[in-house]
Amino acid sequence: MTSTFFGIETMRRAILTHRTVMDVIGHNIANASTEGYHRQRAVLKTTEPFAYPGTNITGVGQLGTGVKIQEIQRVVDFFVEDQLRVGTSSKGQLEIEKETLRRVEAALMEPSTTEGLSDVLSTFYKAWQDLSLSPDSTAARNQVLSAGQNLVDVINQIDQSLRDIRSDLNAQVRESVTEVNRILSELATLNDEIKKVYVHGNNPNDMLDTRDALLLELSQYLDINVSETDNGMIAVHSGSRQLLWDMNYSPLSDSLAWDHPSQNTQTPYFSDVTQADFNMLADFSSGAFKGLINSRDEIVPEVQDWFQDIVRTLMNEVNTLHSAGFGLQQYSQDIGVTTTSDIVVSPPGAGVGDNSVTLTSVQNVLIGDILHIEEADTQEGDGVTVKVIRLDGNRVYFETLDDLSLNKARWEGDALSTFTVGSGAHIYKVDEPKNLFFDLAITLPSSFKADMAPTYTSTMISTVQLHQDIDLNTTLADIERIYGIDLTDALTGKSVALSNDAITQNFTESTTFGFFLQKMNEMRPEINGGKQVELKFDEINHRLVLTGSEYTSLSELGGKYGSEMGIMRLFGFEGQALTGFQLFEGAALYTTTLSEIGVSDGYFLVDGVSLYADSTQTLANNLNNWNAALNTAGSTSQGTSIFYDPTARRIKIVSDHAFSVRDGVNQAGLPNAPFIKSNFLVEMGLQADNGQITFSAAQQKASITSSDTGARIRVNEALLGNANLVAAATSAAGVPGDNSIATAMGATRTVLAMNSTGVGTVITPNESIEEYYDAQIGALGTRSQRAIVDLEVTERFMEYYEQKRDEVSGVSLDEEMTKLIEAQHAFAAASRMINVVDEMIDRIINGTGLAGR
Amino acid sequence: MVFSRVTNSAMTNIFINDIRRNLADITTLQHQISTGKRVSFPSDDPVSADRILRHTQELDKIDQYIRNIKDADGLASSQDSLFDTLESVLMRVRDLAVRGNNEAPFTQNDLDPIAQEVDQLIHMMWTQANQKFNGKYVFGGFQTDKMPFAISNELEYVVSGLGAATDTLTMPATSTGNISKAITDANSITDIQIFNAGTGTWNSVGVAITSDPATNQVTVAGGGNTFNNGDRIRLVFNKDVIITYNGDMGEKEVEISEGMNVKTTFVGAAADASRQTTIFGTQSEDERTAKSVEAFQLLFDLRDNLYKFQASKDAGVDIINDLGQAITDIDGIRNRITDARAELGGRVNRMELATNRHESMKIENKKLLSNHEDVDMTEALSDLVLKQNIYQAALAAGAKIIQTTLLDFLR
Repeated sequence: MTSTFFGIETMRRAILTHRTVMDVIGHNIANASTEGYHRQRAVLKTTEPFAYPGTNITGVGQLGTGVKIQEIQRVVDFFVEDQLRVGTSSKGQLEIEKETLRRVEAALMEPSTTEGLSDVLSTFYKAWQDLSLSPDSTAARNQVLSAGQNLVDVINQIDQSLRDIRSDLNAQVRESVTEVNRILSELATLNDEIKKVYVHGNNPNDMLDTRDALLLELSQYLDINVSETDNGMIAVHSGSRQLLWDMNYSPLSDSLAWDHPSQNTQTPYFSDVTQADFNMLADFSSGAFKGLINSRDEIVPEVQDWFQDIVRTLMNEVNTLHSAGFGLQQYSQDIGVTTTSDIVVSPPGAGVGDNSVTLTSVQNVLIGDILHIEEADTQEGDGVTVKVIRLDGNRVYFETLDDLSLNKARWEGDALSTFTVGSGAHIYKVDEPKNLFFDLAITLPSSFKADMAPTYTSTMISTVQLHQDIDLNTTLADIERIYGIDLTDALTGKSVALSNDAITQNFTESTTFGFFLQKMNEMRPEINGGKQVELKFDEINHRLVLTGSEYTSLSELGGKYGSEMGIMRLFGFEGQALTGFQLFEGAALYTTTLSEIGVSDGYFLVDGVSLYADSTQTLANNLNNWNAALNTAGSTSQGTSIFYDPTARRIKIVSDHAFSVRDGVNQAGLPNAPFIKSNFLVEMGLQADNGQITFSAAQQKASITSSDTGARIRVNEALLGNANLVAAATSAAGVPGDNSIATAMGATRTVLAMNSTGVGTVITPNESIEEYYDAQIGALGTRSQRAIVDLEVTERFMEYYEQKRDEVSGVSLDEEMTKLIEAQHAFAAASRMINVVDEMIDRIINGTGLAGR
Repeated sequence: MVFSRVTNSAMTNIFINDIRRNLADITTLQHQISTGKRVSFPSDDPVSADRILRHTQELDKIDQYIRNIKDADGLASSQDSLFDTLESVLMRVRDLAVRGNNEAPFTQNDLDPIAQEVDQLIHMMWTQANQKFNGKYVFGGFQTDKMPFAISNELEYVVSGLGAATDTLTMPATSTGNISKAITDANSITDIQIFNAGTGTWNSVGVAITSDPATNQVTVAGGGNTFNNGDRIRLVFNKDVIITYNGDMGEKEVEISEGMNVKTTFVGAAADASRQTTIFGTQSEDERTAKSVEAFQLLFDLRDNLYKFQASKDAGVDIINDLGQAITDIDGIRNRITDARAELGGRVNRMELATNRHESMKIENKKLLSNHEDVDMTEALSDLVLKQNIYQAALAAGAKIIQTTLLDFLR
């Protein structure tokens, strides 16, 4: 026999349960279109059956007591959720790559009839052809210059666009890092709250939905693996790194790449993505980060590489021809009138003889100059062109140019084939317009104001890894203890004295490291020509970094003699290391010659020792020779050595004492003979001795592919100022009808100069510049098309799994409505039952014991 | 696709995705139709993009070659008409030489007018030799801005072979030029100038000069002038006696097809006969101040022979053979011109062939370019109509279905 209110209780449970069921249905309906919502359903379970205690039970046995909600379950398929994350990562990566490639295509503007490189290059070649038809025309020359300007404009514009794309991508990397960190922090918080709910035995369904949505958002940026820990919390891995576990997360940071080729401190470096000092760039296998890194470091630089190859080849072809040619002859300088006797000019091969003239002043005349000698009364241009071969006081010796039969001359009746110019002749100096057509334009990007004068000095960086316990708050005493060094100066006991003339600073044991560094930086401002030498503590990588600019300052940094900065050696500095520009990939000690790096034969000076760079020899051979020269027994340069760091791919000069580097000096010993100077130091990134900036091909390549200022080209300004300097003739004597340079220039259109199977390496050329360019555009198109197709495939994949998720977890209004009716009926039936039981009880209460009344 | 459980959002999502794809296709087609171009980005069709660039570049190259040929053609026409004129001048001279050769009995009165006409013809030839085309001298080699042929009435030479200082000079007949030939009458030489090495100036003898065509001697009477070995002498004549070449031997080439250059100029004269063919012959460097360019020298000689025919005969020298020789020589010059014309014809032929080839290549390239670049309008438009129909059908079907739910049927 059950209790009086047994039935009511059962129904009460039914009513409440079904009420809740309706609420759950209501929740589903309300969230039918909520993004990422997984439908919930109340799982009903019978309540504990009522069983009579005792062993001799007769009767019905267990009696059901009603219904309860076991749990409100979130209907979810974990496999599908996982696949969606995979797809999102993939999509995140491909979207970026596709977008980048589309932007690159837009930058190149091909195929088009008027704006792309193909068109302006074609116009350039045609302008030269037109000049070959009228080599005497200034108008045709102006056309050539105008076409050259347009060509240069398009080249620079494309170059700038490619750079812009790269810095854009870089900015996106930074933004993405911020986003990822935000998501991680939210996930950590959520984890905590979810745990609390689970601990109480409930399902935090909506929070789980939120968490899933966050995970999906996170997977867009990088490929993640999600695993469960206790109490419903999760841990998130990416690659080999853990990002989140329970309520803790390890954020990402973007750190500036340190060993940047340009070493120009005014330029932002590209960002690396790191986590706790681990560079994650290589660790990503999917996601927006991967897409950004691929695009920034592979896709765009690849395009920049072949583009730069084209520009360089074009520039070399044009310049080689043009600098061997002559423009419309200018007799600019009238050297003077001769008053002495006839000048006798003999043909080449007749010996130097007496071909000479005495001038009142030879100030403007140099060996190798081209002179033009005319009789006083002839029309201009008539006369003879000669080349100066020797100077002896005021006497100028010369020989005639070329074959005399090509030479304009009036011949006088002598037995020898000589040309005699009467006295009173005019002598003109012929401008030898051995001009380049293109040269490099060095510009700073407009966003950097600081120092507009383009001086490129290499920042000398020396770094040492510090013990992990050291930070800016560590006291000197602790540092001493950690390193086992004694920072004391014997004279002042337990303190370190640094002094220059103005300031004396004493440090004590309790001085913090940060303060120490600060004071060190303030103490020696006069080092380095007034520019600061700086000590910096790199928190991210836990290093101490010593930087200075201008190579002459290096003699003050580090070193075991003299300078107070010698203290730095105690921290482990090896002396200065000059780190030069980064060598090309594939550079190897025993196979790469200096000429491949771009270094020319000649001398340079390190630590007072003159070293010879042999461009035909390998790196290894040169290094051996140099080190042998530096380390000869007893020389002051002992302790200095030059080595190649293969991981960083740089040549480094290291010493245990102060040293300096300079350009080579006169080796030939002749008073006015030019010394042979190697461009080794310039290649290393140092400022050239005479204050001029030179760029080697490698530096151009490195700088044009890096994000900072780089080499672009422009038309030689001298030509722009005077169109007649544009060369069409191969010899001064052939002007103005000689068009061979112009013809050759037009013909370079079909010259085989490039090979698209090997960018950057030396391969037999089998394509003209145009063919190479066409092939690269085709390759770019293919790559871009592939990215578009890949993205479409991924989108289909996503669609499929989204459809699958929806199948499992989506809300169907028809279904919910049907279930609602069910619940409604159950509710109604239960209340009916309550009425019934109520009536029954009423009968008992109010009807019992009133029999017969 | 098999659907097991379909929710409302699933239906709308599928509907949206399909519509999106339809619209994307339609937009692509629309863009193609409105630009007429199949390929806007290389990724639209990479292979075509490559080909489009190549064909465009080919067409550009061909256009330029055609342009080059046109320019060369213009010059060729002008050269041809020049050769024509030269030929008729030479024919006339030849006629005169034949007349001079055949006319009997000869008197100087008969020959003088012939000689004068020859003189005029020489000047005419000289003018033709200095013709310009497009502001540039045609026969000057690379020196297109300076007059190639200079005419002068002065001859120079160095005195030699004298026993002692004298006031009478015998003009040498050979080696240093045909100065002797130029002495056609007693007044041939109007002035003699001697070069003063000390001051570097030419000084006139200042007195009357008599020249004797018979003996080829020139006498300076009085004035204290004497001639010594090694003196540089300048003789000033009463008529033009020398035409020299001041140009060079440069030949301008023009590219008419890939890797194919064609010469477009002719060289007027040269210093070395073995070098190449020239129009007017060689001019020896040694005798440049005393002897003309070959062709002109022949004509001068003919003229002067005609002038002093009688005087020579009086001196016992019969120059009738020289006159006969002149005819052969003139034929020689005419042969030069003919050869040059043949050469010119050959060049023009080559250019014509090249032009024909270029024209057909142009058509070919244009066709191929169009294949890759241009949209097939018919195909695109019918495609567009088809896709539009699909789009509209999708919209209609979708609209019908996504609107109906159970709620419409519940009480």
